[in-house]
Amino acid sequence: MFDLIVIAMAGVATWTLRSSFIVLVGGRQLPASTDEVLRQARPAVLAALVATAVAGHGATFDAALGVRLLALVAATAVVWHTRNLMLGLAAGFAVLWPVLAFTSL
Amino acid sequence: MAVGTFPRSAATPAGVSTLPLDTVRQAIADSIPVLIGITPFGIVIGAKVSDSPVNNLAGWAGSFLMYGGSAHLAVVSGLTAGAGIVAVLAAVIVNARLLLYSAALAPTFRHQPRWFRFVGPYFLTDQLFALTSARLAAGESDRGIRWYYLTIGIVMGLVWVPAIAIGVLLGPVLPTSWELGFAAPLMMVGLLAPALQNRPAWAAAAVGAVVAVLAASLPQGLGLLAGTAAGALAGVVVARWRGRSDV
Repeated sequence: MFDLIVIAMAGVATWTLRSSFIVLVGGRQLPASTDEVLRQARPAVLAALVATAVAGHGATFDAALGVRLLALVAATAVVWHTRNLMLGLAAGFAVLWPVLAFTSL
Repeated sequence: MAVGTFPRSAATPAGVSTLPLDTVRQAIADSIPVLIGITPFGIVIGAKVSDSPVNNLAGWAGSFLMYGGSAHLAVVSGLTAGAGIVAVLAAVIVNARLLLYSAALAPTFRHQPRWFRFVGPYFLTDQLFALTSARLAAGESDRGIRWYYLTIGIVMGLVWVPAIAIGVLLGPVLPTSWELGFAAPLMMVGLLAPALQNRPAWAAAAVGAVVAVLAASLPQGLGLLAGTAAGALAGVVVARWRGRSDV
């Protein structure tokens, strides 16, 4: 139930963002300072989510973490060059899977 | 049906039809590459939901409650990290670009009926914004753009919601040795990569990641919040500093 409430709240917040200028403010521009902070907050929150998922809470730097970081770097590089999310995903697993297959990481 | 009876469709260049049926057909044709892209994305998000401690039904409901992959992924990851309100905040930040789309489309929506101004924004995504902008640039009428926009929005939803359901159902069947849960961070660095165009963005990402890990033991996802705030601050500081040194 808690999960559903959080996701529903995120849904309402998302609709509000989508409709803000269309329904509420009607054609005004975003203040420059807000725009600047939001522009920097997006890479920050995505990186924070990735870092927490991979190395959060009690993780130590070992080979298992190392190969995952390598997979993340590969995915980033591929998407950076191709702008294709699925190719990035494939690149990440192309690094991870062979290592997992031959080791016990 | 005579097109000329709609006063606002006066400026219709040759080659852009305003007949709904043609518009709908064109919208479906234009959406096919988008559908091919979002299907695996949706399946991966569904698989992530089933792999996470998040309730499966709630996680799947995000497909139509939020209707957007990156923020959906952010909320599920946030909930996995123990966040509540912070997970909502993460979704808002990831989706903040929708504000810009909303502002860009506001002049177009001003001529639209009231119901469409409330229903239309629900469907607004990166892909729909891109396709609609291109269609507007080609001189589509108000009535035509409404049909075009709604058709793509609905068709994408008809693919997106089942794709996430398939991912949720498929998740437990797939071998755990495939580590499909790792698809979520891979997807998120993929969403991050295009933003890494300049030093402020790199600074924001690096500081965000480091602070989030250092503060990961904080409860309620506050580590995420600390990482995001510190990262955004670092980005703004580097942008200001560079701006000043360039002058």
